[in-house]
Amino acid sequence: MTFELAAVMHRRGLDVSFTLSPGETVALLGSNGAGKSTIVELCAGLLRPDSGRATLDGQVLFDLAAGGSGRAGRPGTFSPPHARRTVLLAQEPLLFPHLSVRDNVAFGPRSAGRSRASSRLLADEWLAAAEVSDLADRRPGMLSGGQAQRVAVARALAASPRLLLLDEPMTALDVAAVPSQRQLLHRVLLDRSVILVTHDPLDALALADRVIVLQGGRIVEQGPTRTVFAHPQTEFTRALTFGLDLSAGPATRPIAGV
Amino acid sequence: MGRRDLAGRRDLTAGRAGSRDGGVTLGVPRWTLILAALGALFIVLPIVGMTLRVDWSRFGALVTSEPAVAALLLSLRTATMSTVLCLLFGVPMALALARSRFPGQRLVRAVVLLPLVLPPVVGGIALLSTFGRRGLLGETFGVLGIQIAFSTTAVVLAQTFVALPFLVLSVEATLRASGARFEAVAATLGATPGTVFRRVTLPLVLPGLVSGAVLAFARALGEFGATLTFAGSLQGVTRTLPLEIYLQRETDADAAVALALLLVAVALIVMVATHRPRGLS
Repeated sequence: MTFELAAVMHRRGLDVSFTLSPGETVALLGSNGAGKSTIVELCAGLLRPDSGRATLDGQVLFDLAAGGSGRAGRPGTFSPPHARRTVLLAQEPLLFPHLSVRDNVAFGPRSAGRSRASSRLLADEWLAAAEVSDLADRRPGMLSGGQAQRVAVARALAASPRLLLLDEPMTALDVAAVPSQRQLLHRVLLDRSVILVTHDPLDALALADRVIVLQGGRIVEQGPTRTVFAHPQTEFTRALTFGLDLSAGPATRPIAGV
Repeated sequence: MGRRDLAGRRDLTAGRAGSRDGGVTLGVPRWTLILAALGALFIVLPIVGMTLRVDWSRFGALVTSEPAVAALLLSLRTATMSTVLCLLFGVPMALALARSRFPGQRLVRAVVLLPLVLPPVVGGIALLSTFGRRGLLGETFGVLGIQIAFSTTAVVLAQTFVALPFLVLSVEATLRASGARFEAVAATLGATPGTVFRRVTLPLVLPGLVSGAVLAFARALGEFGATLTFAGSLQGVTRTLPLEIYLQRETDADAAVALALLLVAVALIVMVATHRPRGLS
């Protein structure tokens, strides 16, 4: 599932282009306002760029010519979020409060046209994968933050995304819940195409094959996670990785595509 | 531990809203309580005053008289129909106002809410100028053999005209409060706009929908000015309870008071049975 993105969005001062290999996890790093979340929302179809082109596995997500004002009659294509299979997992779990945990996870398969029964079976499988089977019948309001985010992971994966978008998926979690959440993500993200927005170099090290560092809406640094962290080229990355000991052991996941 | 709101944010004040669960009431100076009590008295006292004036020996006979029953049934029937119309058109209107952006939106919003501030009799004249025999659309309807003014349909239209803003306001506020983030997540999970509306938006705004519908129903039930102007006062056809009360007042003040109390009772039952302010569940 190759993903290619080139997008310009003037209002957000964004101008980036990068490619994701099949099964690769890329971490987006950068200070607040650098454009990380904008990129994620562009990929998900929640924002419309001024110009650019994105393709996922051959399908055109958007293809908009420069110079257009965005009004009707403008050339180009823009595929709506529901037709992209680019599932977004945000900082907050955003579980639908009126649905049980199981029906939350079954939401994606149901929307894809599966029957209620088979959607629920699939939901149970993903709840098991996220180790929260015992919560299936609860309402989201009765879950802790860590539990809710696990359910949100299960719900995102049950929608069988071709590209998974994680926008700071652990920032809102209780400190105690972060390590197990990181392990869960590490397990389920293997061999998936993922864009991960994070502030935490540990997340990048544990989960990402490659990092892209953003500054003011531009890519200023990129490469394999360990290489970038070992030889930071920007002040931001130098500060971010200050004190990290990268000599401890080999990478915990195989390099994508090998 | 604060409760979490719809969006999952922790709400520090949720557990402190009252003193019942050990929370401390904050930000409510004592003088506001006095003024609040005076305000409540201002509403309760006239109702009490009216109740005291009821001639209980004749009450049963007065409220079950033929014109009274006809008026009550007509009121309930038309108010129900206009509430359905309000829901049918008001929810999409609220959605358009809260979720989309289009040129002239502020103006449209102001116009939609106009019936709230207009004297109902003006609304009646406006409706008559549009749907009346010589009105803007009335002539076309006339050609088709449809006569709207001074019919039960006119009652429903008049009530819908004045009640619609209540529903739109209530649903729009709920939509804004719940935010579009759930809809965004649902869309990225593969839900088409129709599915998002049916499975996410509607359930999320249900509390606002219910309270808006109740307000609209109550407003429709009390409609007088627009109805009288646009629909007239024909027993069993357009003479709703408020019109019957006004009419009775000319001839039999006791009957008017008895019917007024009946209307208060119906309105109270509807409000208490279904209306809960948001935040209490």
